[in-house]
This record gives sequence, C-alpha cells and structure tokens, in this order.
Amino acid sequence: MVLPKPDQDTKTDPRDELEPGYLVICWDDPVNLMDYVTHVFQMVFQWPREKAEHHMLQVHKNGKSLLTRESFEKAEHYVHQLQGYGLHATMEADK
Amino acid sequence: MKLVEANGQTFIFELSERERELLGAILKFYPLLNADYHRLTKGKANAKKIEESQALLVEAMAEQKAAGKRAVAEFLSEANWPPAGNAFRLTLSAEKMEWFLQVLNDVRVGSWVKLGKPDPQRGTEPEAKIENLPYLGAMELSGWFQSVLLSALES
Repeated sequence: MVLPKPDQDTKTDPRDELEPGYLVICWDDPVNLMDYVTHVFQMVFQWPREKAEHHMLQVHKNGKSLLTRESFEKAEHYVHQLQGYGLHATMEADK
Repeated sequence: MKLVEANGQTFIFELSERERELLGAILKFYPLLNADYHRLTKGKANAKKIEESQALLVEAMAEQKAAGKRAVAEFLSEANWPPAGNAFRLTLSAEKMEWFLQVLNDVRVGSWVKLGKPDPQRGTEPEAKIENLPYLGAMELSGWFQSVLLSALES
C-alpha cells in the first residue's frame, strides 16, 4: 500500500505572498522621558509593564527597538499612534 | 502639584498658585511641533502607498493639534480650577490624563526641536542665548509635570 503523498506546500509564510510585512520601530531621542516611553508602549500595544519597559530599555541602550511586525495598515495605525504621543517611530518594509 | 485622590478613573491634583501659573504659561506654547515633523519611514518614501500614508499622517496630526489647541484653551478656563484653601484643585479623568500627557510632550519635544535638538550625552548643549530661555524653561517644566502625571498613573 502506498500512502498518498501529502500535498507539498512549498509556499513560505502566507503573509509574505500578500505583502512583505512591516516592522514598527521606535528610535531613541534624548528628550522623551523613559517612564513616558514605557507608558506609551503600554497604552498603544496593551503590553504589561515589564514588556513595555524591556522595549523602552532597548530603545535607550541600542538606539532603537523593533516593536512589532504587522500588515501595512496595522503598522501604519501603530506608527500614527506612537507619533501622536510624540515618539520617534517609523515603519519599514520587512525585506 | 501633588496627587490628593485617585480611584483609577479620576485623579485629583492640588497645585499652588505658582504651579498653576507655570502650567498655564507652558500650555500656551502648544502646539509647538509642526504637523509634518514626523516621518512615516526613515528612508526615502518611494512607494506610492507610503507617500499616501505620509500625507494622511500629516493631516491627522494637523487635526489633532487643532483640536488640542481648542481643548487647551478650554482646559485653562477658570471652571477647571476651583480654589482649595491657598491652592487650586484639578480633576482629570483617565482619558484626560492621556490627553494632558500628549500635550505636555508636544511642548517638551517641540521646545527641544526649537533649541536645535541638543543632546548633552553627545556633547551638544542648547546654545546660551536669550531667545532660548522660554524653550529651556518649557522643556524642563513640561517634563516635570509629565513626571507627576506618570507617578499618579502608577500609584
């Protein structure tokens, strides 16, 4: 008995077929208060304080932090929100 | 400015007359950041989608700042500052706290931009000139008021 071959899915991540995905990045600046940045991450992403603080420290120490990878629309929404709070945030296509 | 009462939804602060004056003075700077200050991407916006989104961002920021300016004027009206002995009381909802933090941050970041984006850790200090004094004061004071609000939210 020969078992039927399972369908071979040669596709990669289905998200990548539709669009590349966009990275939401927050960049360091010497003016936004550390507690404020933590608070903004909590509000925008609904993250617990520990996670928000972790990303804030990444921004502070490494100059930037990759916050999330999303579709264009969602990434755009997050960037608009972060910038509304006055943070230096951008979105870049995930190549 | 100190927190005197909070229940998670409402925050009541007490401010001295001097603090109220200072807060009023720095809020009059709002908005300081131009609507087109923020860029959606770091690189050149060569994709049509990004260009369109950048235009939307500028439009959204302009609307936010126009609405914020009207709200600041209303916020500073006498009715929001009932006297309490020698001090004044300010009651803020959780939603208003978020708005207030954003307004103060606009003044802080906007002042920093006006000062030429100094970065003391990299050896760039704001230029010592008389025109910079209001922005130096506004940057430091808005940061101080922000810290009070953030501490209240944590408590």
